[in-house]
Amino acid sequence: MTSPASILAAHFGAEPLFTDRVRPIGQLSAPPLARFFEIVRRRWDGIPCETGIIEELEESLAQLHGVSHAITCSNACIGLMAVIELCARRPAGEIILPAFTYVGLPHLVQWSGHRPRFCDVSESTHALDPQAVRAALSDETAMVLGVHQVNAPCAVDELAALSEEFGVPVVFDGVHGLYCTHRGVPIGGFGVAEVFSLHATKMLNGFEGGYITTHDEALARALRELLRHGSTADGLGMNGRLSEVHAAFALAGLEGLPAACERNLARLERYRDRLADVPGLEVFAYPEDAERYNYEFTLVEVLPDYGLSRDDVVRLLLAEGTRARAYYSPPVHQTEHRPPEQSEPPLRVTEALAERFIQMPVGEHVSLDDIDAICERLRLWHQNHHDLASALASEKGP
Amino acid sequence: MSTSDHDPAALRLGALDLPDWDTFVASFTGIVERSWYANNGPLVRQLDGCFGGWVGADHAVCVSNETIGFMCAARALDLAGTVVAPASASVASLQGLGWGQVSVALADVDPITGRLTAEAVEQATDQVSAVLVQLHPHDPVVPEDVIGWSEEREIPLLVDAVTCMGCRVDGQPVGSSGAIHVFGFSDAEIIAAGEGGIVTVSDPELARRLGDCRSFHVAAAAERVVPRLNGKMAEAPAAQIIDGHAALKSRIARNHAHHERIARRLEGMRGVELIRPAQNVRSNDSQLWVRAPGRAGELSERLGAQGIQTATLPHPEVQHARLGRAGLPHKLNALPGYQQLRRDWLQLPLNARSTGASVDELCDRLGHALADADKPTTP
Repeated sequence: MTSPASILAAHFGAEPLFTDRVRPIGQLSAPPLARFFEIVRRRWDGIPCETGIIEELEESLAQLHGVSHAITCSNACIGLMAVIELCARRPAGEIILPAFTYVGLPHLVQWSGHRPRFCDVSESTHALDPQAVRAALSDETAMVLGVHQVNAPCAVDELAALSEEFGVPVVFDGVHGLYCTHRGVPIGGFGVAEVFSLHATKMLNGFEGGYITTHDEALARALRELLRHGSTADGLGMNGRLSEVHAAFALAGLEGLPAACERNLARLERYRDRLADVPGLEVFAYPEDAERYNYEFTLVEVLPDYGLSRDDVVRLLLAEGTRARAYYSPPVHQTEHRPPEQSEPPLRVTEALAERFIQMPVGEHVSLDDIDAICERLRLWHQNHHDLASALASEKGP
Repeated sequence: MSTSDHDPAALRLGALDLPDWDTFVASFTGIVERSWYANNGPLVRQLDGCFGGWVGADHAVCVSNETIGFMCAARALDLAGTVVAPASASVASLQGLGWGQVSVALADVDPITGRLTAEAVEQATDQVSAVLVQLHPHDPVVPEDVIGWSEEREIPLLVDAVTCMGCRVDGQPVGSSGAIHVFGFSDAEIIAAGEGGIVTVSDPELARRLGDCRSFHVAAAAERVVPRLNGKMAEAPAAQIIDGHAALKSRIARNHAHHERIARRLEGMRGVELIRPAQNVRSNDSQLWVRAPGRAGELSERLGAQGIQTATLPHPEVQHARLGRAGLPHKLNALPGYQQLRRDWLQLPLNARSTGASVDELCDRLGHALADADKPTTP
């Protein structure tokens, strides 16, 4: 006999929503191919590594962010490692960072011999809570690494004040802040430096890549040197170069950035519209203010009214041919990415936030029709949540 | 004929062996159609799977570049203490090891072959945790005495094979010895992919650890590498490496023909000699090195003044400085063999843009530079 669940969800045997290709959570935008080939062709017509593609991209990015310098690198991790290597205080100590973030960050601070010090975040911005940072600052602190979130930048003014008071450099991971503003000023010029990604899943696709923005000319010079095998007494060099091919791809896509943000907003609004009357599901609202946002993520909060847990909904969505996932969950300090010698710090807000959101399928490979289909299924699941909940419970066993 | 008649790229160092343009367009159109650009895409998986077969190794791990390869190798091996490296080691390997938090002791090399010797390893330090061997396209040989020394002590051997893709020794491809090899795919190499690196190993557990180290997103494993980094290769270089490998034989044949031509041109030229591989070696001939006893620096300056890019081996203090992060220990040994090599060895430009006419011109310029150097200076 067919169970009710088996006709409601692919997880239980129904036809998945998407069988042609998985609907991603990353942007995966492509530039106009003809423009990419036109730029990259310079490598064949001129001298590879001397085409000026990197310089052109760096100038464009500096302009976009309203900063004096943009320095490209092989990816954002390498960019952060370079900034930490040059800017964090020595001898090696603690680098204060959030745990409601990308799992790679605690690794990156360790390459230069530092230790991660996880700090709680603000409930409204999801970024480092300045009060928590103040409490964590000590003689051991080598740097504060703030992470801008899609919905809000860090409390840059408060962190800048702490930086001044304690003499500790503040650096921002701006990966999710590309094209966003704070007080009308583009993200990119705050702190000692900010680091961005050119990964395909981010706002500007360079296959893989990254860049660092700063107003500090001496730091820009040192970063360029360090990322191109230079070593100084302050930092060990490496090959952190961005390939010209990757740079050409990003450069070709740069003009499309504002339109990409608009399409993200259209997808976000479609989710909001289609889920407006589904009890227990709330599309996370970006602030309604004068700032600019890239609307890179659509986050949906699952409330008790929905009838299924957040993690159960993620499980069901995955089976439908999507890459929906629990947003920053578990948080980094509760994973194996925390250094094994450190005990788990209690981070109340972080842990609560990590229970709440689903990162929904978005980006250039998710159409408005796809969103309609996803939302329709979410509605159906709510209407049949008793059947689904018991089917899911029976899977888990007693 | 002046040098300006040639493609200016012919006067630059580096192999600059880009894929054929139409092949590049087809490959990149395919990537965009698949929309899989990074994160272990199909081309990277293909390369992870087939590269070992190309070089006779059991496992291959694609990474962002050669420095990342050495960083991951140091972490995957859990290296601590001191790695002995030849003074001629590349900056990529030295810095990669430095990021791996090991100290490096520079050892002397044979003044004629440029090879590291077991004796030099012994003399470099008494606490060796690994040995690095630097291969050159004209001498892609891991010295037998160094292999024996490290095997006897069960000390890992790291091989910098960045420039040696396609080279063979005794009929076997470089990479097949079982040691850890790092290959490079920057624009300077015979397979130019913008950037890229591949580490090959024979030990499956080490391969797993290398794969673990290059990414944060791998399946749970009992013993994880800490710290890790984003050292993944993207689809763009993977496509160019796969396409480049299909053209490798013809590139080697082209380079070989240039070397043969240069050998003939330099015959009888006093004070300079083309460095050629031993009988049992098939070089990829991606670099052009000459021996100019005592004059490498001077010739480099004279040719440089004419817009011809050349290189000599870096000063030991430069190598030393490349390990210069405050607090990172390093040891500089007496290096008479390497110092002689520095005075003798000169790299000249030879690359994908070279033609018969451009190499003839280069040889003529070299001859003039030698003649000028021989002229007595006015008192």
